[in-house]
Amino acid sequence: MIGLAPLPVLWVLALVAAPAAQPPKAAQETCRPCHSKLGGRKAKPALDFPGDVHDQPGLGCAGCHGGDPTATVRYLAMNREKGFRKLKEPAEALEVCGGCHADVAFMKRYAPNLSTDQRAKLLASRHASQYALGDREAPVCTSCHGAHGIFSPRDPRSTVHPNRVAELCARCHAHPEKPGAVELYAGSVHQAALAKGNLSSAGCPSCHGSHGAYTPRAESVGTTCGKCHPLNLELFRASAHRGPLEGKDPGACGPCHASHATTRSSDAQVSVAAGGICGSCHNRVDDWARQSARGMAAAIAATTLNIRGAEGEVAKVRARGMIMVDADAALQEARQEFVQARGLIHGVNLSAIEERTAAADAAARRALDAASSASSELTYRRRGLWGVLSIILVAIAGLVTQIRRSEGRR
Amino acid sequence: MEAEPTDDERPAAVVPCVPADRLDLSPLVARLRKKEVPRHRVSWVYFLGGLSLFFFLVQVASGILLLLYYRPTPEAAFDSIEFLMARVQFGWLVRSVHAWSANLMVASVSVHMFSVFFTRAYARPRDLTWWTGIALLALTLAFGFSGYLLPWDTLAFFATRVGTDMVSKVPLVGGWLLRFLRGGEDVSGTTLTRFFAFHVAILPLFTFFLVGLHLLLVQRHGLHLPLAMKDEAASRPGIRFLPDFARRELIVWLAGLAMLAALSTYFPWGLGERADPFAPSPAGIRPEWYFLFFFETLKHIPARVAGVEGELLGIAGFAAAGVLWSLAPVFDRAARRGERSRLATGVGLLVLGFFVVMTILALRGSAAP
Repeated sequence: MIGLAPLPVLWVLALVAAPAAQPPKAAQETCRPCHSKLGGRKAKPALDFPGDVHDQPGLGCAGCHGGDPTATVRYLAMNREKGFRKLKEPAEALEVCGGCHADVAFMKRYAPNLSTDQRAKLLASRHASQYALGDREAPVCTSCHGAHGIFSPRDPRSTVHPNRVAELCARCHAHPEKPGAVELYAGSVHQAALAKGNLSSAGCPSCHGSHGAYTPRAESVGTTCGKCHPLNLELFRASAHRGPLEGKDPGACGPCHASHATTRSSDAQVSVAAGGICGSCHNRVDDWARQSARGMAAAIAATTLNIRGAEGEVAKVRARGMIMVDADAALQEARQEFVQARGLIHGVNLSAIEERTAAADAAARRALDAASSASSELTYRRRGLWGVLSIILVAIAGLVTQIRRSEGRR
Repeated sequence: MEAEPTDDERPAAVVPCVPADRLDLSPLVARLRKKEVPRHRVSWVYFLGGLSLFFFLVQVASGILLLLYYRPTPEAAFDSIEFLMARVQFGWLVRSVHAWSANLMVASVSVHMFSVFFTRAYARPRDLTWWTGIALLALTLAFGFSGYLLPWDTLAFFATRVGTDMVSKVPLVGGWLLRFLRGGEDVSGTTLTRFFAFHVAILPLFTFFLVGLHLLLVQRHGLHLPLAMKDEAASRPGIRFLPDFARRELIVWLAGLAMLAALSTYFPWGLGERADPFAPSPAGIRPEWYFLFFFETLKHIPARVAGVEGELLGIAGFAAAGVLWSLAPVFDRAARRGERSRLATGVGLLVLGFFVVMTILALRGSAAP
């Protein structure tokens, strides 16, 4: 607790200091022209800062470092009596960053949409408690956001951009010698979706939080996954699986989907046979649930075949030049019903699933019928064409005869 | 007071159901019966103009039918074409015939132009006929370009964006021309309305006038007899315009109709995806086949040539070549004197070869994975 002791003090200090945070505009500064000429480590902050999210509204170096940014001599510019601070200690970041970011009135002027509870969350996080326990490697604000090249999390250059945040967490949490959460996540469906450009896919902070980072316990896994998959959670909680799974390790969703190594779900997983998930729990031959699992698998497999068959037939007729509006609508309906049927697996309710697959099968059949009637229409058109061509041929023959007669007379 | 002529005294009606005293076409018919078309081994070139006219008439007829369903707004254009093709009885046929006929018309007009060039039929006094023909070719291409956008599908949308962007390269007036064509800074609903107006009102107006003038000039000056065919034509009897040439022309039109029907049935004109102006440009954007040579050439010109933008240079080059080509009756003095000109033949073969090679290159390029 010794390490945590100064934190509330710093927080209070920050609150007091915040209203005074009226940094001079960058244009008046002498810091950057001087530092950029120094080269090496001393020039880096000046070179990194342009484009920084703090540089854009004109918050200059003195906003964090204090001192007299208008002075042209080093002694005056970096005078401790004028509040200059080097900010080398990580703990100082909490005071400096939090001084502004926890100040509602100040933040309203620059980023009114930004939450002002980040500092409080950080203080309550696992990271802060590690720091308080003496772990000097535990992250503070600058560990994740950097110091002089900070960009909005929506900016791909930002270290906390959804596409880069896993890499950021891996700096501390990677264990190449013993693959853990970071390594498992790298092969997950969530990471794959992020890599494809779906920025709303889950990254580390989506489940663990960012400023208030905390490992979800078994009892909160369901709610955590349910933030993005609310319907599946609702179905799961209404199902027979809730009692035996929720609140127990590895959490509500873990037994079927894993936590970090969440792979793309497939229909083959709904099976009591080898390679299926259901059999891993329902492994007793007399388990009645095995019958239910078989029924779900059969319904899903049959509908998959029906939809694929209809898609194939529709594609064939489309390739012959037909506009397949009705068939496309029916196929779309079949796919929607099927998606719902698959989702209902979370409720492990066989009759509800069969009801949906039956609706999907009916729509697929309509698509097939539309393809069949389009194919008949094509045959009809081609027969009609040959009729028209025959008439044209007869007309041409008649004209040729007339020409011969007419020219023969001459 | 002069007595009314009796039924026996009235001239025979040429147009059925219309008494000849109201519309007496017998002098015209008599003239056409007397008129003869030279008969030789390349007489087939005389049918190309008529075939182009046939495709134009098909365009007009099918275009009017399309107008009954087409709605020229970004929200409704695609749906109206889809509705026409999927729900309206023979709607698929009308649209396919319109689209195929447009392409065949460009092809026949182009072949007609080259045949006129190689037979030197542009020489005075037919120079005005040649120029009206060149203007009609330009109008045909403008019809193709403006009509391409109307279904408002993805390919059409982005190809029109690329195509209209070309005019922005024109020095001084490029920006104005671009906004004139698009009706704004980008291809939008205003562009669709504008292209629709060009396609169904402005271009047809000029085309009807020029077709009339072109036909009048053809009738006035008669059909050209190529130099190399003079001896053969002299030794063979001519083809009477009415009825023998007209019957042959009718056979050609029927063949054109058969081709249109077969193409429309076996290869009905497709409809891509609905255009999404906010989507990224799809791969494989390309214009209609008759503009491919132009785009392929621009691809091979370096970005900058002697400090000038390559694309601008290419466009200027094509514009200059087009003007020089249309001025063939002025440059080709040998044709005016009725003499052979190897230079003109060479230029014609060069232009034709360039068109064919560049089009093949473009087609191979777009077919490559």
